[in-house]
Amino acid sequence: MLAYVLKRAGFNLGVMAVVVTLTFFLMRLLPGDPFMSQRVNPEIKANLYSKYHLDQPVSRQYAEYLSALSRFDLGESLKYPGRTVNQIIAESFPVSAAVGSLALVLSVVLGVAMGVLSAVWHSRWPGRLILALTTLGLSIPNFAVGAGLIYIFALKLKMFPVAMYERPLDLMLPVLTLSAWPAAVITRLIRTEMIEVLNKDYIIAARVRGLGSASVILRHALPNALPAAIHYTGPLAAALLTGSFIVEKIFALPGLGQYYITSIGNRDYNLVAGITIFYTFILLVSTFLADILTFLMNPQCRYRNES
Amino acid sequence: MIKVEGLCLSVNKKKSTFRLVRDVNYSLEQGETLAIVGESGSGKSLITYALLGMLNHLEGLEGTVEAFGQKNILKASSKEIRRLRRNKIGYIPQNPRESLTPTLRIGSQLAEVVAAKTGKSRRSCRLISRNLLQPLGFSEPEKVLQMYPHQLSGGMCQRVAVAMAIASSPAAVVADEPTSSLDLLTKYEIIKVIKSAQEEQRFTLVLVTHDLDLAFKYCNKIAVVYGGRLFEMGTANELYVRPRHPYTRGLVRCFTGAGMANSGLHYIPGEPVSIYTQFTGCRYFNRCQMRLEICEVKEPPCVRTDGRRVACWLYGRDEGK
Amino acid sequence: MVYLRVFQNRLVLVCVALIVLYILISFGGTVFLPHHPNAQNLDQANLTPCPAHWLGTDYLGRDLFSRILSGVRISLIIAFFATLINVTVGFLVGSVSGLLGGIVDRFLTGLIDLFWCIPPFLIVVMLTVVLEPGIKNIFIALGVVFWVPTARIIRGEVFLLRNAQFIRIARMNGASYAQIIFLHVLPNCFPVLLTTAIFSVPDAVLAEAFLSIVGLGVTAPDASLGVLISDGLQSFRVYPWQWFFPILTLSMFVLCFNILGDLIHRSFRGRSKGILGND
Repeated sequence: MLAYVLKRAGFNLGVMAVVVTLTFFLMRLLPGDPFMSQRVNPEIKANLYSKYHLDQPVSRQYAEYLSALSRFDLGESLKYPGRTVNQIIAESFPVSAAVGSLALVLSVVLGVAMGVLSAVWHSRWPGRLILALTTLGLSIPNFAVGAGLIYIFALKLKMFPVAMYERPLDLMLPVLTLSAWPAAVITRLIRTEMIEVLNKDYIIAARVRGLGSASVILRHALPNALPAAIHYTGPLAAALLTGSFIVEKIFALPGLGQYYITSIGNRDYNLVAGITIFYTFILLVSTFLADILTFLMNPQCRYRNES
Repeated sequence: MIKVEGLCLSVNKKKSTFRLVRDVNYSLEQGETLAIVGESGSGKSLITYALLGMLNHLEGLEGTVEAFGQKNILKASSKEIRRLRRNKIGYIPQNPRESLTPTLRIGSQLAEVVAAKTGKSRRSCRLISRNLLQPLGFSEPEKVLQMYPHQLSGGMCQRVAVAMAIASSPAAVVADEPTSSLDLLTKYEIIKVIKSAQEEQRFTLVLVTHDLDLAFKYCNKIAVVYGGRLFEMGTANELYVRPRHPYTRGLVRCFTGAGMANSGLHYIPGEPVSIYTQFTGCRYFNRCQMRLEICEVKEPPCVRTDGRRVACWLYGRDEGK
Repeated sequence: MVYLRVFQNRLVLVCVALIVLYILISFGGTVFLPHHPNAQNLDQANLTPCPAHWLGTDYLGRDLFSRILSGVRISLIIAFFATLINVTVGFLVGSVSGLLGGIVDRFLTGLIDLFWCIPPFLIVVMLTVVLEPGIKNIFIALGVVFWVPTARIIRGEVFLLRNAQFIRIARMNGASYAQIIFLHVLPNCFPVLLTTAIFSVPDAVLAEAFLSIVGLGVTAPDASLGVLISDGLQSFRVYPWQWFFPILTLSMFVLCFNILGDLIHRSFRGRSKGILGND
């Protein structure tokens, strides 16, 4: 177990290094520079360049960036003067994370419940209905769901304010939008696995031993059908927590996703690199946690060395 | 007492109907041991599944199974079936390791089954399950209860399954090839464990097997199944000494011949018919050495001759005279 | 025979018919287009659907129906080439890695693992920015990330096939790796490859839409479905049809491919259902 954790940690560090390097150099390959839109005279521009050390050779910049990174310092934003990348992330991440964590919980709960129901009834109409719904859910992208929800519930029915977030309930539309797609995916994963597990000998035996349906399905079958869904939930959690650009744009949420895309357009080297690194970090951590969870849930892995 | 009459099972597949079990009749007194013997794919397991109410959801199921105070198990509601499974009938499955949930500890699974069967709380069932395992040949039951199925050997898993089956002192226990995946030594241990439990609790035992040795040694009644039909049924002794049906004769010769020196290995020529072939006459026709003309066109009825049932025209014709 | 049996399903037929319709109409050139997709007419901006403009017009007075049809064509081109890259690169990397084993396998699986851990949309966004948005660069950027899961699946399949009798015999008879890959591995992996290809088309269409909304779509005046949706999103509160019709077109298209992929996947998997399955 410990060896596994160490190995994974080492690999993840390697991935981080690759991502840092990649973003650093790709950003500098981009046509244009951070200050091109401002009509500043060359002298000020040169000043700005030297302030952010952009006049130095790239290798030097890279080395400095790495040394700052080792102190968890992501540098200063080039576009929002006076604000560090750490500050921007600290401000916008909680917004994304709040919406994202709600969406995560909703999609997991909904996905597991619908997956189990559709597997139990897979040859009858409720199961088919759920399957059809998930296919539909996988075909309607989130920008369609989001705009549609706003149009119906906020503009026509006036049940929610447009882009105003005062009460917790106001977050409902973005949360629904974010969770529609993952809920459909989780439903399908659980459904496929569950149908397979329900045909296993131990499930048939448990039924013949007189156990009730609830116990057979939830206690005996479900834990064995979960690994695929958990495996998917790792990257999903990272994507949801760090915010989706499109959903944040449609709902005018000041989250991390918005900053990311605008900073690429702005050539805000430090902000792009910072958010990328932050995102990759979250992704690696949540994937890792998901893997550990699957590992712990399977007693055949946990107790391999005993007996 | 178990009384099965006219048990039939047909399944529709690819627009044609396949009759998997046809016209099976038998009856058992309380405390008897019946061996259902047949080759793989002969439908012997299906016959016992009917007893457990596992086929009730299928449309092509006909006949009556009268047992445990139920008029017809095949028509019982799922609630009644669950009550039967809890109180009246135990089940020992075919693959011991695959029939225990891999993600739960033995103790928790066993306690759950005991709780379901006895109606007691889970907590008190921990102790009961410990006491259940004790006579089944576990040296350290406490330790076993803490383990997961993959940590136990096949024989140990099967003992746990036996404990689950006999937890509520059932009226009958159905064992579906309980030893087919075990090695030779464990096989006899498991059978002995089941038999001694039977002596103590006096339940009826239905043992599905393709092992004639087990059938003749441990059972007092034997039913020979071929192609979904009951070819012959009688007491173990009678069948051993005077098998009537040509198929049974072949089986017994294979079995007894194997033990004797210089006799060579006896076998029944040909291959068993698949249950999925369409056939009008006797299923055994192709391999039978005593076949008659009628065998090819018409299926023989199941007749009683001197205390047993035989489905063969050799005897059906005699009775017709 | 499996390939024929798939078409016995009525739903599959409907999907295939719809997809063919999409392709025919969008590639029919100007024959089907009532107006030129890029013709502006500021007098008739933001019209609601009417007989002259079936689906209305956009903010520059361009006919939405014509724009959607030509948008489908651009989206289809992007999806087709992204899928092509995905399937070829994925299959080659996966089969070479699985078949050769050893150090090649180590290297390629390492590469796959690495790509697996880098969030795909990061790579796509970065690449499109670096390469500058355009039809060709968008499908290249999509292809760069799409092959990774394909290669992983194919490698798994091939790794199992590797020791199969017929491959061993082929190798004993002196077949080269290329021969083995194309004569033996390809037919065996075909079902997997087909389903990945089918599922990668809607993925590409959706990814293209995402890029357009981000502002990295094809450049004006051409418009893909994604660009139309992105334009529609700007003004969907006032002119909902400008947003609704492109989305409907896109969702229908994606739905067709999803259903088709599902059914084909299921028919290849060959469901074997036990008799006790419904107990």
